[in-house]
Amino acid sequence: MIANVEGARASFWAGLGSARRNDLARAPGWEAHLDAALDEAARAWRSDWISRDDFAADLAARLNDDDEEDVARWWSHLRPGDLYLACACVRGVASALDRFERLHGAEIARIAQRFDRPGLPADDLIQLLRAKLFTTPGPEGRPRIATYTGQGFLQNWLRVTATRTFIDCCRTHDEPPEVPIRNELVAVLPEPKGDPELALLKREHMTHFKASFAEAVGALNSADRLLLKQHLVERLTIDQLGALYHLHRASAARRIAKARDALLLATRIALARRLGVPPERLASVLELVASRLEASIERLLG
Amino acid sequence: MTSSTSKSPRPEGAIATCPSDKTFTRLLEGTLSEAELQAVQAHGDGCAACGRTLAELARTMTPGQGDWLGERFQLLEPLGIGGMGVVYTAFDTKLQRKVAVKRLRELAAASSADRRRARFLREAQLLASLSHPNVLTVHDVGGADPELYVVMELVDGWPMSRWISEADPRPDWRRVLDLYLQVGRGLSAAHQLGVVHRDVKPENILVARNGRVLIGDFGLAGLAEAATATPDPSSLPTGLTQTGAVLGTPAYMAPEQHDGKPADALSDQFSFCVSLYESLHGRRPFPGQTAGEVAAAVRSGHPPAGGDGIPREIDRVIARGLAVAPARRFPSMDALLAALDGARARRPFKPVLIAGAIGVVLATTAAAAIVGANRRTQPAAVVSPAPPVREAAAAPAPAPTPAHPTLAAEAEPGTSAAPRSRSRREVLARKAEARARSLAWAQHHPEIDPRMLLDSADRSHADRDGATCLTALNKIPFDAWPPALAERALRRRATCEMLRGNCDKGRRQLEALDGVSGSRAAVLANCPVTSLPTIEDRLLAISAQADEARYAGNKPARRKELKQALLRQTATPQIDACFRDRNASRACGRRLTSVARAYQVLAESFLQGHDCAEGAALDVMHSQVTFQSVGPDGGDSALRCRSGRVFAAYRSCADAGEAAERRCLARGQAARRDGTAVLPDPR
Repeated sequence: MIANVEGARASFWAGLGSARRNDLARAPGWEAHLDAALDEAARAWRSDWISRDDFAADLAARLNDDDEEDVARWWSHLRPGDLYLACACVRGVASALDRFERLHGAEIARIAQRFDRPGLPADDLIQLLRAKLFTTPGPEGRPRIATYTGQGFLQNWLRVTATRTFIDCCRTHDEPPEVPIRNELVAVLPEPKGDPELALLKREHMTHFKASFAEAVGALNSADRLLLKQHLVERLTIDQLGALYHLHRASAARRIAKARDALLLATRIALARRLGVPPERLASVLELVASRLEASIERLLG
Repeated sequence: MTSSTSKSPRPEGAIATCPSDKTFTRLLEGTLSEAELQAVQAHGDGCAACGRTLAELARTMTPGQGDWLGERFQLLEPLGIGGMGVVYTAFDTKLQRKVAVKRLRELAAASSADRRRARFLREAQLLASLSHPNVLTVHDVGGADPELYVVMELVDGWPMSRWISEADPRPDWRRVLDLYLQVGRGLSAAHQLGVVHRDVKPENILVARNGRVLIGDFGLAGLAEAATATPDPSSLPTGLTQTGAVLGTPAYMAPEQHDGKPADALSDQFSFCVSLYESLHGRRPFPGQTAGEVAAAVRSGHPPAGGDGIPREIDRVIARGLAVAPARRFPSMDALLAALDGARARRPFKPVLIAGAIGVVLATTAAAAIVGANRRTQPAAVVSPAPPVREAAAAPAPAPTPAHPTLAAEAEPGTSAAPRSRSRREVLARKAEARARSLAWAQHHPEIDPRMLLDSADRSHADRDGATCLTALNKIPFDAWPPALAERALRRRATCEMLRGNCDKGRRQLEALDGVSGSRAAVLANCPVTSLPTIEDRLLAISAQADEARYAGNKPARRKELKQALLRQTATPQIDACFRDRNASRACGRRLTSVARAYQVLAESFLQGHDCAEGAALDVMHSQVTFQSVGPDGGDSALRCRSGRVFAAYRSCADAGEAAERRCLARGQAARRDGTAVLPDPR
């Protein structure tokens, strides 16, 4: 590629919307950013897939798309090499598509494998994803790959896109939805026999218990609730949660324990208040439902 | 989502539309701001599809067990995510040992990348030939485009940055200096081979459990140049080599690196001095929010301020290492190390008395708050549920405002330090005095938010000032409070009683909250564990005595002893049988509760003593026991796990739990058919 800096800058500027032009005018130095991005893309891919001017126009279009983003942050998170590859794919450059497949095919296949099920094999999922990425126009009238704006690594963006697409596919495919085992658990609670009064008490208290529990779940802050849900219902390990939220594994374990304890304690307080019973009687009621506590967590959070 | 949860209120901050792909991508890369992360979590809590997406992403980020790297290394589990990629533990099938493997992020196929990769490989080979106790051993480098991996020695320990915040939050400056002298020797050895580190910072220094210090991640920063363009440094956050985008880490970079010149041994010396300064002083020598500001501070040529009880001679040596012009620094790492050694020998440490008026204390608030913020990278997570000490210490100190004496009095530094020296005691006394004054003030201002009182009580508790804490708590109208807060306050009141030596009274209050029928606990707290006839009583006694270990003295030896006792007790055949045979009903349930409670209390006690690994291990055991008690026979694995294997067992726990749940369901249905109950009959 022969550098024609003026031309590239001009085509970048021409592609910008007025709002973005104002942003750039306020924060000088965009030319340097642009040149660096173009150079980087040129270094990353030797093959001449998109001309420098055209890629500058693509960059402008992506910057327009990210209209809520702060410009400085946008430049700093930009991965020009990855974006160049993606833009070449949008333009249907065969060797770029080939390169894309070789770079990311394995990762996509690995994710698809997780969603593989009877009637919806991984290969079909991969085909669906390919169609969505490169051909079928999405809600914005463009194939999905065109919505990648170079913010973050392409591989990570693909993980996200693939996961979301596959979840969508599975949701429409899995009807009727599987009945989670945990929802059944409460149904098998045994009825105490031979003591109608106790049976009544228990039913009554279970109602209160459930209400208290729901109240406590609602009062939990949303990050903790999500964490518990992911740990107990989605069965994510502390390692996985740690990796997702960039926490040390010990911290993740403690945060979960803390959230769970907060939940159970809030339940107890709410229950005592609802029942208006002295603590010692609450204790016996709680013993009655204690064995169901953990199961209830999962049911109510799920 | 069940109907019962949809009825419950969905609080604060949940965003209505689903986060974009871009936002999720940033989540994976760890580049979301704290506020953005919270917004995503709040949304994921309410939106089923996004909740599922988050869960699936977490699963795809970790390799399946048994993924192979080449033909020799089998990945085991992720250790952490670094700037350059994910680090895993792996099994080296050739030499039959565990190693650490860093998988580097994809590298673009740039022409210069090839050159840099070649340099990286050459340096890695050189390093592999270097055997130095303070350099993390590189066993192997391999992989093909786009994935490169580095196989390293597996070290059981922490990065220096976390060692300071977690393992030992109040390290003595001499200890820190000792560690850095070792690091310096490692660097020096590498320099003599002609290898430059390029990214010396506390995160890249490992402190092993056995006290050895190692410097790792040599040359990786140089490789990063291949992967990305150089973004405008003025807009970059200073803390991290964000996703490997920056060459080096702005906060630790030498001026010549800021100018885009190649790094050499003298740049390493500069970064080393920045790290040492930060570890000694608890703050960075060159302040700044963005890389641009840091670069300006670095180039300004002003030596950083001293103080913090660090001898001036040491600071003077560091200042020379931080000179703007490389020529004015020490000619080599060895010269710097000799100077540091000499400075330490010349002047013994004299404690700085923080005596006098409270104004002096307040003046240091800002600095202390920064220290606090820097040293506690994971405030919420380090805290265990009930015990308050670290929780209170981690709470950010509010800014002093004349209109609110309560706040002003509370905005004092150093809640985490133990009252060791005389000056420390003085500070504590003054803080107690100030709190008493602000409480008196609050008396006449009923409109004051009671949560402030609770925070104040927490901080008094952290300073082990039970009397003031109790006074504050007694002013709080618990009844009008939301349950979680009221619970917290009641619990704090109970632990306060324990703090004042009234363990029995405190325990009675706790029992009312816990709903555990344990009036026996008060009796058992004073019995030798081995003298008790039943396992149940022994477990109760351990739990009660662990309470005491936690609040009265907090002695490590006592904790260890109790832990041993607990492990012994839970390894008995009776408990084993109890797990297997859930039909043993009430007694069994009580026993399980005792086990879980004992684990929990001990875990909290370990965490409070800052023995995080032990605490976390016990914590997990506690979760496991609680969890396994749901299933009829899922308990075996919980019992078999011992602290060394606890994390491995924890992984299998989810599967075991699910299987147990299925069996439980099947049994329940069978039982309903033939009319017998499987679960304990309530009386």
